[in-house]
Parts: sequence; structure tokens; C-alpha cells
Amino acid sequence: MVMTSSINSNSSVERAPWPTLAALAAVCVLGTAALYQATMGFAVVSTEDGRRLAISRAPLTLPDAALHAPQAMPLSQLLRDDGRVTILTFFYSSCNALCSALGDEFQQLQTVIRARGLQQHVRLLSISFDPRDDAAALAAYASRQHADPAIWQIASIDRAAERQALLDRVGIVVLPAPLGEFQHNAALHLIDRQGKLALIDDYENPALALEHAVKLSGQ
Amino acid sequence: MKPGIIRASGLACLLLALVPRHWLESSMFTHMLVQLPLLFGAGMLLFGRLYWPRALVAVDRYGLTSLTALLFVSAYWMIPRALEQCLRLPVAEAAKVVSLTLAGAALPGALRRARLVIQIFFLGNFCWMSAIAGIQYQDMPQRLCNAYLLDDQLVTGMGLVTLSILVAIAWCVRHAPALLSAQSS
Repeated sequence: MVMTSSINSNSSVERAPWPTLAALAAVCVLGTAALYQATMGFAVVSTEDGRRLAISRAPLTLPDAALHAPQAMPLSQLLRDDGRVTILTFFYSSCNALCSALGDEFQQLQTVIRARGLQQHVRLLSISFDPRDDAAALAAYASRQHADPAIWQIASIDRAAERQALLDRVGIVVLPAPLGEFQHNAALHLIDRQGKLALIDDYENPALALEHAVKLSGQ
Repeated sequence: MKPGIIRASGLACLLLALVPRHWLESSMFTHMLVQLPLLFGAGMLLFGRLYWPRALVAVDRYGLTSLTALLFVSAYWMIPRALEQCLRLPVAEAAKVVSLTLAGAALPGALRRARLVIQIFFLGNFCWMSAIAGIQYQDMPQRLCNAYLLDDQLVTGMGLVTLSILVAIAWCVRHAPALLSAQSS
């Protein structure tokens, strides 16, 4: 048994192994290229990190959507005509977990923006992705969060198709979770003065997002 | 087993993987640990016993090329971003079906050509890779895929660790008689 296998081994070594080595090299090149593509150059493994990296490499024009509350206007107009850098987040008002943490962070950011006199350069925008968030729900949320409309606007999108198009383009995935909640990827989206999505920062680091926003505003 | 039965079960695997596609892909666990193995099994059962022309055998001495490709394929589909791309990009979905079916088709021939020591090398690589990935999935406080819930990711992580153990046990059970007889002789 052992004898035969060693004889086989010798006879197959005698034949040139080059075809196998060449094929092996080709498989390694192709495989490495595939892994390079999937990880965006061995930089990310998660979809969220990939989304952030892609946007930091190439700023994104957002599809337009008709906003309602506090005033009805197209999103493009709201973003472009203002002249300020916008820190944008997507939320739903009945959220008990992530969005309420985001709300607290926006409240603190609002305080810092006011204290540092940055309200001419940076503003905050929360857009709800929950169709249940009507004007009354948003107004209640705004007052609960002590949102100052001069710095922090809270809006929702009426048309479902426009809402979905915006979420898809930005890369926000909203999943229905138990108890009427949603799970969604939360982040701080920085929109430059031309209305393009330029950078995405982690929602856990609002101070960094503010620094980036100040830099984007040219201050 | 009769070739007819083998082919029928291969076809069953393929249909089970593809017909309830959206349902299987709605959870990370069923996507990675039910659909992917079904595709792999379909390739193995449908095409695993096909006759390989000599030219093809010549580029796969000791099964090295097939087994290396298999490691790349399994590594690729363990990357959460790659898996999630299948939900949005039809080309990624097609690549998934083709790559896993081919990997399954190549495995039986590769195992026939590969010595035990080569098999152990690739088995070890596959097992530590999926176990480490599974441990990582469980340790991550944040979601790796935006389309899947955190609990789903946790269960998938446990599933990957379990898979790595089961594959190692299956290999040992299959080769235990040969290893024991080699030792006694």
C-alpha cells in the first residue's frame, strides 16, 4: 500500500508539473483580484464601510425629492440654496434605540454649533424614512429634541418612490424589526455646499463630523 | 448509488437553492449556510463524476489547482460585502451560482488526485478560515451587512464555526479506516 503510493509519486514527479503550476498561478491571480474587488482594495469587509469609502472617493449627487415639513420644498433646493454645509441623518421619530441616541447627538451638536458661532456655516438636517411620520409627529419630535429651526431642520418625504430612491442612492437599508421598529444603518452624512454627499462619518463620533463639516465649509 | 439518483438529488439541490432564492437570501444564515452549500452540493452531484479530458487533468496535478480555487471561492463568499452585493447586482448573483457550482463539480476529482497530506493542508486552511470568520461575525458589535440583522449575523457566525467542525469530522470519518490501516501496517 505504502510502496505503491510512493512509486506513483515518483512517476508523477517525473512528468513536468508546469501546466499545473501555470494554472495554479492563474487561479491565485484571479482569486486575489476577486478578493481585491470585494474588499475595495483590501480596505473593507462590511457593506457599510464600503459605502463610506466609495463616497469619500467620489462625492455623490443626491436624487431630488419633494420634502414636506417644516416647509414644502425640493430637497435639492434645501441643500443647495442654503450655502451651508449640512450634516444629514436618516431616522424615524418613534425609534427607541439608535435614532434617539442620534437625536441626543444632534441636540449636543446644535449646542456646540451655537456656542462656537458656526450657525452660518454648518446646519443639521434629519430626514425621516418612516411613512408614519407626518407633520404632527415631526413637530412633536422637534419639540422633544428642542430643535432650533435656524440650525436643525427635520423633514420627511411624501412620495414613497422618491423616498426609496434617495435611500437607495445613499445606501441606507431600512429593515422592519420586531415591535414596529426598524433596523437601519445610521451615520452622519456630510453634504457640501454644492449639495453633494461628500463624506460619511460614524454616528458615534459627532465631534469629528463637525470638524469635517467646518473644513468642508471652508472655515 | 445509482447515477440516476445522484443526478436527481443534484437537480433537487439546484432547484432548492434557486427557486426560493429571495426567501433564502432574506436572511444571512440561510443565504450563506443553506443556499451556498446547496449550490456547492448541486455542482458536486451533477458534475462531480464527469470525465475530465487529459489536458484538464494535467493542469490539476494532485488536485492543487482545484483545491486552491475552492479556497478562494469560499473565502470570497465569506466576505459580508461580497455576499450582500448579490442582493443588488445580478452579475454578483450569477457569479455566486457559477463559482459555487464549479467548485462543487471540481471537488470529487480533486480529492481523488490529492494525497492525504495535501487534503489535510487544504482542509485545515478551509476550517481555520471559516472558524475565524465565524468568530469575527460573532464578535462584531456592528452589522457587517446592511441588509441583515445583528442577531442573524451572530447565528451565521455560530453556523460557520459549526460548519468548520463538521467538515473536519466528516473528513476524519471518511479517512479513518485508511489512516488506521496505514498505521497498523
